[in-house]
Amino acid sequence: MPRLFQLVRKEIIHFQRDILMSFFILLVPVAQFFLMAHETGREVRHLRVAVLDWDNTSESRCFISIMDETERLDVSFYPRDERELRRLLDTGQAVLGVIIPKGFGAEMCSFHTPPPILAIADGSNDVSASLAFSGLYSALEAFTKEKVRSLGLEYEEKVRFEPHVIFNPTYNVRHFTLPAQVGFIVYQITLAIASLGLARERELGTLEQLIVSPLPRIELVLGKAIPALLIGLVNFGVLLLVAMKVYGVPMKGSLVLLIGITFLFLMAEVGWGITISTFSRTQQQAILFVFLQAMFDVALSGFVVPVRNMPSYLRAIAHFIPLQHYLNIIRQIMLKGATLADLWPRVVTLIVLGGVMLTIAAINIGRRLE
Amino acid sequence: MNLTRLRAITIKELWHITRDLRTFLLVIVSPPLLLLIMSYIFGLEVKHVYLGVMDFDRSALSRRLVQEVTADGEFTVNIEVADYDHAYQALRRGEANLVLVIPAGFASKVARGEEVTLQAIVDGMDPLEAPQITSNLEARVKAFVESAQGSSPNLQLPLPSILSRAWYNPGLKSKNSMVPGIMAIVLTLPAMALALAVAREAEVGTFEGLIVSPLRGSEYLLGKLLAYVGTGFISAFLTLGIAVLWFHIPFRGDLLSFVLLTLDFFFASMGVGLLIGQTIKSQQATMFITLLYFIVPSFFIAGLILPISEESPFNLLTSYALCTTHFIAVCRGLTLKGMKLLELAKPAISMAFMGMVSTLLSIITFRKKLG
Repeated sequence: MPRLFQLVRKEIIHFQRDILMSFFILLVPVAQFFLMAHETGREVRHLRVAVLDWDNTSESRCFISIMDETERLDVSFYPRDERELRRLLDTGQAVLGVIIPKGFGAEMCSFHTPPPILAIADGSNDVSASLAFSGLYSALEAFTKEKVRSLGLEYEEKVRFEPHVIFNPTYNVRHFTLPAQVGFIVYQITLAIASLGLARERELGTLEQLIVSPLPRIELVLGKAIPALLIGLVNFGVLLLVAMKVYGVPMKGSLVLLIGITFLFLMAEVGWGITISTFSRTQQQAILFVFLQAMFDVALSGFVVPVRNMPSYLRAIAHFIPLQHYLNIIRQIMLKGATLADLWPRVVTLIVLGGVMLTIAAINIGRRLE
Repeated sequence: MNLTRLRAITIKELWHITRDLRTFLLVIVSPPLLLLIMSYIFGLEVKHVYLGVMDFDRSALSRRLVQEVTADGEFTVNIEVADYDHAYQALRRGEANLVLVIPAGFASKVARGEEVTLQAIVDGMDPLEAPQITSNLEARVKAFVESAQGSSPNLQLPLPSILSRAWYNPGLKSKNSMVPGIMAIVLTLPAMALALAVAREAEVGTFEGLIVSPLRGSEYLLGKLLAYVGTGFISAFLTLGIAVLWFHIPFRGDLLSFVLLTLDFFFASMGVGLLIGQTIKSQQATMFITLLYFIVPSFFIAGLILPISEESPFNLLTSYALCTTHFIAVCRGLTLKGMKLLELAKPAISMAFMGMVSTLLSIITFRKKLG
């Protein structure tokens, strides 16, 4: 046991000597976090709309101004004809083109159904297009209610629908994305350090000396695993603090529970990282394996696309990814105040996955260090 | 610049790449492979909402309401709850994304034509999805009740309507947007491999041999660039092949423009890769930085999913400083919009500029020194 302590001390001295590395290990995650927090904390606003108003009545102008007043849409262009409208969409300057037909206002004022408004979206980004369309529909709804009322008619609502939003009632984007980013950055750095450690020693030739020493293999593995784990936990602490104090992300659940689960999660990732390093002969290979692994994990983890929206076979695979469980857990603890009673299935899965990964690492270390 | 030396370096680099099967596969095969995998994950999004039902009415009408709402499979009833505590627990555990509350007396009120109020308890955790699924449920519920009540009182009103079209991607299929976008991102991998190769030479020590040779900095860097651009093109064609032949993404542009603009993109991305690898001489650090520059932001601020935010100059600057932002526009422009080379001048010039600046900086800061 004191031998193990010496090994860990040796690793720490390595880091202290390599100033550049220490710098990167602590500062890059924080910088990355700030960058990502800044980038993803925004609402979708000011999508550019080009309007071709063939009607030019007070009704059409009223509709255009309602569109412009919505946060989501910004009436930026008034093209002269359809060709110009097309060009604006082609070049991507406008996301949505709206053509108000002649007779729109006249028909409305004489209580007839007006000719339809034509809306054309740039479909090359389907998300922007959908958001633009939904913005347009809400603008139309607002316009309709106002117009109908001004014509002296009643817009009856026989059905009332009252949504009551709990957990993030202000729809704060940052509260939702930041916990996942903390999890992702901590995952990234722990996996990288765990996997690169052994590969680096092998490549630089210093691994041989460790092999011929009387150290048992398992202590060698732990000697690499523990520093990676410590770095992960330290980063986690720093990032969590920033998220809570600087960005105001709530912590409705138990901090102790979160730290405990983070420990379990990082153990699993460290185990996997070490396994990756036993399969790579050079650092470059380890890096590329980690990178592919990370892309795969991130895609299936629910970081960008919710897992329940994936086809069933992908959802099944996602069960085997610790990052997926962890992102869920950290969000649920911080935003919903979930307790162990709520989370135990995922926690058990994490423990099982971690155990399996560490076992694979231990077995492979025995075989591959030769 | 001595062309013989340049040629020698380029061939040496090509040797390095192709000699080790693992590296070769990773550099040439992984972009198309990643495109395949990621497109399945991002491009096949099917809306799937877990609905909880708290039915205080328990009438035939309330049951029909639930059936109608869940008819097309977008909403599925995952759980039925008896009271509010139970509902909150289900929402906390993620068993339901929202709980529909049907009040007692629902059926009788509808039959009498009276006003009826339905409540929904919504898990607002996901601020992009929650409002959408809430308004979706609202529309479905209202449509059902209005049809159950008979004639809508609003039929006599002059209600305007919208006829909508989506150009370039008529069904607004996420696949058509995502595949060209992801293609742009995975084609940064050759640049990352280049950055790592440069850093590796400095770290492992093979750089020493080059120092004592009469090799000039510009020849060394350009040789590496040429080798990686060459292998990058193989990757680019494989990736495009997968997009068009496997995912059936249209390709409405012309191949020559694709070649030229991909070359432009490689110039930009590999120039930056060179600069990073050369400035940061450790492989581990290079990996972090290249990931941070090429991959991570590309999912958030390059316009892949959400449009580019133009709210502050800082946002604009960070988005346009990424080469993937421009290349995503290029890929989508060539595949979906059928844009010509001249129409894509803006991203083309931006990328060329980035390439020139980074390559020049690399050459200027190149030092034949150790450490």
